[in-house]
Amino acid sequence: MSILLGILTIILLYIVVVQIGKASDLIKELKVGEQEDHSKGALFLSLIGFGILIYSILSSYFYKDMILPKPASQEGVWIQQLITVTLVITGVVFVITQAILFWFVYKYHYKSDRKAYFYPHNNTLEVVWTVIPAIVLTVLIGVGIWRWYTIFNVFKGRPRDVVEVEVTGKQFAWILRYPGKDGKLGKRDFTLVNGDNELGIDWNDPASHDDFIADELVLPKGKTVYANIGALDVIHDFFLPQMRIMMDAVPGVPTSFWFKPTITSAEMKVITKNPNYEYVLACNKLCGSGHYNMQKKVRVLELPEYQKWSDEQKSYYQTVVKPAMDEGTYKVNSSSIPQESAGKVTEGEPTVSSENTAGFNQKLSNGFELEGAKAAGVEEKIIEFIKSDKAISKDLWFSFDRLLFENGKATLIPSSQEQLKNVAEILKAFPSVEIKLGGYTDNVGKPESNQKLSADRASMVMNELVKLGIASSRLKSEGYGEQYPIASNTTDAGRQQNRRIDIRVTKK
Amino acid sequence: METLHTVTEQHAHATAHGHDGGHHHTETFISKYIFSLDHKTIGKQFLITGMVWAVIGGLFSVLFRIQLGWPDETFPFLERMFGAWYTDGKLNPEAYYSLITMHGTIMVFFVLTASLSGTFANVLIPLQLGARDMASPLMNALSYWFFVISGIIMFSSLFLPTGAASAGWTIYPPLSALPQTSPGSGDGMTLWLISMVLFVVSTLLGGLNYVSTILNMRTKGMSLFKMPLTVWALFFTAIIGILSFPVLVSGVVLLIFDRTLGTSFYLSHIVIGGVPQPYAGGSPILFQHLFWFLGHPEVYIVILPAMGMVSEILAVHARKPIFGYKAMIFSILGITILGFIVWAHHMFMAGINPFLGSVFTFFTLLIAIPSAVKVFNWITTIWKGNLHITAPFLFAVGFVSMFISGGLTGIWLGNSTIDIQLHDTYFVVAHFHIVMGIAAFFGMFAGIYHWFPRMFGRMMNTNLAYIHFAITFIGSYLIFWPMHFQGLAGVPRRYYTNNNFEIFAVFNGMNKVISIAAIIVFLAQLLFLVNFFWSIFKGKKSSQNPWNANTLEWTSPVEGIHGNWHGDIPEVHRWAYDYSRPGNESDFIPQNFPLTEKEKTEADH
Repeated sequence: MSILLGILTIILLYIVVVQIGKASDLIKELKVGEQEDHSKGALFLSLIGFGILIYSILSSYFYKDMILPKPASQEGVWIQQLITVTLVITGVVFVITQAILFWFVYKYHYKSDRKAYFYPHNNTLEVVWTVIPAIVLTVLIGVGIWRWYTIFNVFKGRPRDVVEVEVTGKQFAWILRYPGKDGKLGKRDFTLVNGDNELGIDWNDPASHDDFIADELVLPKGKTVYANIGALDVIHDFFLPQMRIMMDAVPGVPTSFWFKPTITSAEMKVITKNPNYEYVLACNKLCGSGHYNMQKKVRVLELPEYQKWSDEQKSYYQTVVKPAMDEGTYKVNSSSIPQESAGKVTEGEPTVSSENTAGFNQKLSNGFELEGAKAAGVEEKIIEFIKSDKAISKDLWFSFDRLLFENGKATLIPSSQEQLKNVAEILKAFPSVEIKLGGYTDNVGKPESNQKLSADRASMVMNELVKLGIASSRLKSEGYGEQYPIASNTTDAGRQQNRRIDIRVTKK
Repeated sequence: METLHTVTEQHAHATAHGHDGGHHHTETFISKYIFSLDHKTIGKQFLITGMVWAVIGGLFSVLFRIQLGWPDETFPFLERMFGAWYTDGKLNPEAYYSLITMHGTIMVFFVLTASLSGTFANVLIPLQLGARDMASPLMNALSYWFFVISGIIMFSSLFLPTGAASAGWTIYPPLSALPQTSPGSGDGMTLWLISMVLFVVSTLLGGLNYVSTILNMRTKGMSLFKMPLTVWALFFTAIIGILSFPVLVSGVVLLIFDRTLGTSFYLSHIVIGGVPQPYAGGSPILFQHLFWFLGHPEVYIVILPAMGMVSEILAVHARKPIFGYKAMIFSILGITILGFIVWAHHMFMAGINPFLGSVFTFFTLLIAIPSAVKVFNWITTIWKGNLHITAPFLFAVGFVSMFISGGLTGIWLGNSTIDIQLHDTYFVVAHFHIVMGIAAFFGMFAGIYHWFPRMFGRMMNTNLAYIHFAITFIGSYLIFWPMHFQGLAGVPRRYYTNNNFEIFAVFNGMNKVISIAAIIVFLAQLLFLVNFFWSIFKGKKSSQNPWNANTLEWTSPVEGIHGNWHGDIPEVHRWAYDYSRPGNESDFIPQNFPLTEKEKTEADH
């Protein structure tokens, strides 16, 4: 109703405006014989033009504090200098040309007693305003290219004595790997990639044994940082806005950036007069539906603090990989990629369908095609169970494999919708099926809060399924907290597996 | 001699078909208005189809601006209207990315390439050059119908359950190549690619036709340097299109191979969800080179016709010759040539060799020189003129203002060092919307208001045009000017919401203002459409030459006959810009007026 009313109002408004337009046209026709008058139109155009000119200048003053604070890297300072020079030059040209344009519009508007000045060309003038921009641009090009070459080390070669950090983008997160005490990153080999070793790190390379994976990008002040940039799936972009550093992360094409942070996080809080001010690493290349949320916290520390932090980090190999290897739960070199591009990946797992190793494609009876389901994922397992004649059991739970929550919260990350939708469609395709959702956590934190979180998460998933059109009478949910772990709580990977939502079919 | 020969032949052809007055074909509604071969009708078809697309593309921008302006609010009525794009009254991220992709694709290709060139090249080239029609009327019609089919395919992708393409209008692989990475890269992307191939067919059919018409079918006396600047601009535009669009097709075809045949032109070392994918040896950057080899010249395809029309319109309404006619032509030529060797400035941060980057900085900033010459010449054209402040003139001046504002920020972004900070931020959004989006629209509006009497035999309402101009001009600055500051604050473009980053969320208030301005500007365009369609049927009848212009189109009968002129095609004796010539009674001398004795003796010297 309100839409209709809104549309009607707009239409009415149009009719009024059109009628006014027509009426004033008629008045003009009545005035035929009088001299044509363009002064009002000229004033109108000129005022609008000057209005915009004043707005553009004033707004620059008004918004000047909303732009980034002073650059937090040496390279950023150089960029800022060039921006300042360019701003002054283009600003002056902007004001002068716009002012002249709209001044001429008023000054030279039509008068019946005047004839325009026949002035088809003037070679001197034209040469002048070709040469002057050329000189100014030469300066800008020269300074620009000089700074560009400096920033990218075109002539002086790769800097030595750097802190290296490997930054790898994937949908929708950054993986940060530091070389550890030996200052050398372990080799990576694409053919070693599997579910347990996403980066394909070669654990036979001793250099890899002290590498550590960090949760935030920590950088030292005053030392050149070598960002070794890559991506796993699609193009991402390594963007440190406060340091004015940017470089695409391209799958298959390694890129890099050498830069020197010059202001610590603590100093920046003082500069911005904001005790909560934080540096941030963002993604600046559209990488899919979660692009706008792909970030990492960045901290810049004084060099000694940085050293201390770095020394405290635990080697990923020692804390995660080796224990898992010893338990025999770590997949080593299980995949081999034929180098011919047409070859198929062989994952070496029995449940993998031969058609598509990455996915489980099935069209449901209601015509819905499952989106992005993995082989041996929850979708396949549920369908298999429903179709089979296996009895319903209280102990038969299937874990969601692509459901992600925000840290410590019962809020789903948008990418989880795909699997939720798949499950909802499966429930629609098998209308007699009823399910129970169980929530679980790892053993970190207080048991009571874990209990609550798991219950909240399970009921959150239930609500989502209701939203997707499943009757709530078919769904139940319960939180089990830290109970029933499915993997060891002593490793990161194990804890991650324990934080989960499971499905149990309660009626076929 | 060549020209003379062509004209005679054409004349004979026209006579044989009875265009010489008296006898007429019996035309049905379908052959006259739908499957027409007449260049004037095809021009109008391009225009009206473009208007439909512009409304769709504009509406999409309103939808995503609502999301950006009010990221925390719900809009149940939008959900009722657009269904699956919304969940609980909020636009889905996938739908948001489809909308920005379609907005870009529609505006750049369907509106500002096909419709802008298609309309004015069709209407103006034969009429201003004194030709009975295009070199190949059939190719011309095919060009339009390929455009329609391409559009229908693109439109149908909106209704797919997986959504339309959502990888941005630049469709960079691997995102666009791998459906696992984004729902819009499934069937939506397939249709996008098919549509684009057909679109290029349309562009080539049109472009080849424009070039052959301009080179071969000028009337007697119309030497190249007597052509109006509109035709010069459309000529270079067509050449750019012919040379660059096929490269897009090759890029697109390789992408189709990667998507369907399992090739690896753009893919290598790809891991999705911990599973390595069977691609090796390709490079995503190769696609960017192929895409921008078209993509950058494309912006000149968009802006040159607007420049040509603005040059013509400023001269006519200032009653003054265009200043530096030859400089204007050579600056377009300069822009055309340089436009082909600057594409990688879109890729400074893509991982190209820094030395290569510096070469592209050099050529990119050089483009500022011919651009500056054009701006100074336009301003000098209105200096000491006798300005008629008409609707076309308003928009022509608006164009110059926008071109200055957007052109100057180009000097920022073209400098690779500054681009490190500003690449892919809102600064870029502000820059290209002002300099090629809004400016090209202003050129198009100026052209429509100016040549409407020639197309439809009636005048558009001036007061509505004033309102349209005021809202559009002020609104455009209110939309895009603040985006410069967002860019300088590092806000990336293509974020569904800025709320997840504390440093970017400070702009929520500004975003509301921008979104409100965008909605008002959109509504003002509907007002323009009301004026346009109302004037087609009810507008004041136009006189033969309502603006007292010199060019040949104003000698062709107002009612718009097939073949363009009764009897012989007028012969051209002078350039198009004899306005306010000293010693002449009236303030204009049409091109078909013979030289006076005095002028002849002057010319002999």
